Amino acid sequence: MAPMIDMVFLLLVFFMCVSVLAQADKTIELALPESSESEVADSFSNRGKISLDVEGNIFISAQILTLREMQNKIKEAIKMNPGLKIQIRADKETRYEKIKEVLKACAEVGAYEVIFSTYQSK
Amino acid sequence: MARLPKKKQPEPTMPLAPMIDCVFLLLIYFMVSATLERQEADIVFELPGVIEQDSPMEMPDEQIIEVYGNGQVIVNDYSYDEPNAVHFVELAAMLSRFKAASDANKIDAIITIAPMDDVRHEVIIKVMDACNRAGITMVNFAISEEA
Repeated sequence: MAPMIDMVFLLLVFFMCVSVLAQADKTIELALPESSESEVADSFSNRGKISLDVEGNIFISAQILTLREMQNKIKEAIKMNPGLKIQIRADKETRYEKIKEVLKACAEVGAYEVIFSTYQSK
Repeated sequence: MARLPKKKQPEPTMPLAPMIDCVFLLLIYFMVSATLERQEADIVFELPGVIEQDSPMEMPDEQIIEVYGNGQVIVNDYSYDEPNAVHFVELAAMLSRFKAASDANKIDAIITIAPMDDVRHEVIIKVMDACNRAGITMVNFAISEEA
């Protein structure tokens, strides 16, 4: 009995840690568009995640920001790390008008490498 | 006074069965919540940046893809694919020909996507998919001009 309980506890602790770590990197939940050509990256480092919901509200982590605040954050981040990539997580129903504003703001502060997040479709 | 024989206390034991039930329940909960999240994938592109002035200018081949709010895709005044198509097959075929022509001339094939303001993000991703399928890696967005 004892070894089994040990094992189960170990598994429990493992999954609890995983879920805590996943929470730390929490972003808002969105219905991302599906893409047949996208690829899951090997490395997720060196990225600044920006989420855009259906109405075009801008989020970094789970915090809502204005366009100007977002731009300042990117500016600071790019100063520290010039190779920063901007990952845009936009809902599939988000209008281009809102995405354009974000792209423009990124280009203005020198963040040229941009990634659109999608789900892989089969 | 006669002493009563000391009653032997039963050894304290931990009720294991309910604890295991609880732990299993927690285990299953965390396992399910860990696997439920769907993995996100990438489409990478670069925004138009600064061109080095002293590098020789080679004129690339450029096509502008106009995307309208209803999902209609227009290149050189010609409409490709049904707006509601799952994949933009005609567009991808045209882009493949364009890429082949550019390759034959040894120049870069560049695509600029110019969506209208009311285009849904989903449609833009479908256009980018079509570019990817045609093997075109240089994709730009029209962001400076007011579309």
